[in-house]
Amino acid sequence: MSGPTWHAIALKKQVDGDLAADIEKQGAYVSPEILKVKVEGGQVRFELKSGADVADTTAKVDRYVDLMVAKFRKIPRKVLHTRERQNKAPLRTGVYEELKKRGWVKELGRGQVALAGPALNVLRTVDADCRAMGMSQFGAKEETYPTLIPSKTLGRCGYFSSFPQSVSMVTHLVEDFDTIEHFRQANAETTDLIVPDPRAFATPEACLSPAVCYHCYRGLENTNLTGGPNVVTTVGKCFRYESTNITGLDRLWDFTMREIILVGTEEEVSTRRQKGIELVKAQIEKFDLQAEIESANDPFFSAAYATKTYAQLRGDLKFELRLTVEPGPNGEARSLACGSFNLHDNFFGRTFTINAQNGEPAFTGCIAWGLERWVLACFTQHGFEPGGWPEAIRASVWG
Amino acid sequence: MTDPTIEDKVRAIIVRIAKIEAGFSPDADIFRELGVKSAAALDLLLSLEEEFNIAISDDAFGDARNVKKLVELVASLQGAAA
Repeated sequence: MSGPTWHAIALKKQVDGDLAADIEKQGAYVSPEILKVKVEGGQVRFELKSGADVADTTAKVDRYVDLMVAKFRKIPRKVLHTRERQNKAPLRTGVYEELKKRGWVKELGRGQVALAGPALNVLRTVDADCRAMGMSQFGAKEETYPTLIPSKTLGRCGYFSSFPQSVSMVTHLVEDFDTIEHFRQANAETTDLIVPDPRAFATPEACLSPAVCYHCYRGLENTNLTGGPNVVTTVGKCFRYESTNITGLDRLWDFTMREIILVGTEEEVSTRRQKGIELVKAQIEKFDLQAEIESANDPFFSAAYATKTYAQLRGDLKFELRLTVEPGPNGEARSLACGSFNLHDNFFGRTFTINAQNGEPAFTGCIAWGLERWVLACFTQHGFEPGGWPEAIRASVWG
Repeated sequence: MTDPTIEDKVRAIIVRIAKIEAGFSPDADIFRELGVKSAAALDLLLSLEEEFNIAISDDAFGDARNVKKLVELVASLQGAAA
């Protein structure tokens, strides 16, 4: 029996490194038969599982690449800030394996981890710092939100048309005795989930939240912000299905996000986002992290990619905090987006009829931190001995 | 019947892409006041380039947020190319 095979299609136009990286990453969603996608030398190469339908999958890759590339228009990246760390020790490698070996990270499922010990302490230290920033620097009030989010809310937020590939939907068996009993019997003698009839699943009324801020906008529906901007800080579990890109703490399916959410006039929101960028520069000083803050785009899918990426980059709507993590297999430098600074124009204000103090549809923005990635970056940059850690956070991490 | 002007063509493109009524003010901000989604900006830009056979820089396009300014931009680029 033959093994996996490589195939290729020619690119119809030249692509730069950013677009190539997105084509490779989103290639995971093109077909379950695809193991890997690489953009090399004017071609998109893809590795197929043994026995895959080559013609069918090649046609699918062709359609996918065409939609990603045809309209794409390059907007140069802006680097707002670069920082080198004071700690001159080499970056640690094999960090995820070491964390698992020490029992500080336990892999409980694909993209699902438990944290313990100093790894949990790092997450809590970062989160406490962000929460304190929200409350002391922005006057944020705290709110908590459900892990579930109504599908209707996500639909209104445009999530299904922008990021359908990453939605995690929540379903249940339809309320029907025969269906439930059929399911029960099918699963009585097995520890694996058996789905005897997919029609037993109801259309998902809810999804797992892919971000925490959507709840805030929905919660403000039909509100006039007569008292000025509304600033909220919250932390919650978020879920983004990452397919074959799920990797260690780099890319989890189930992760923790802290946000400071801004709702107000355009000026109120944009000045606060800028303030957030300045405060995060100070935060990475405190944590002594090698980092960059640069413009970025979200992983819009297919036809939405070119148009929405263009709007996002042209409008400076998104900047990311990228923290250095361990080099790749060939020694190439790597960083991960561990935070973001986002503006959404007045989309959510119009969608949920939220008016700012000036009576116009509110503008919104958010500052967000992906906390598990901070854990990875901190151990990569500071190692596993307390002495290597910056004094400002050493005690809270190591006791 | 007279040939369509630059403004007629620009308006037709906006109406087609944004699916809005034709009689809007030439001074209205396309994205803020006419409610055209920001994601439609790229389609608008590419359509203008194709219709008038010109290359529009992203900065110039970003500054031209209403019909009046878009018409001026197209006219200046056509003039530069002539």
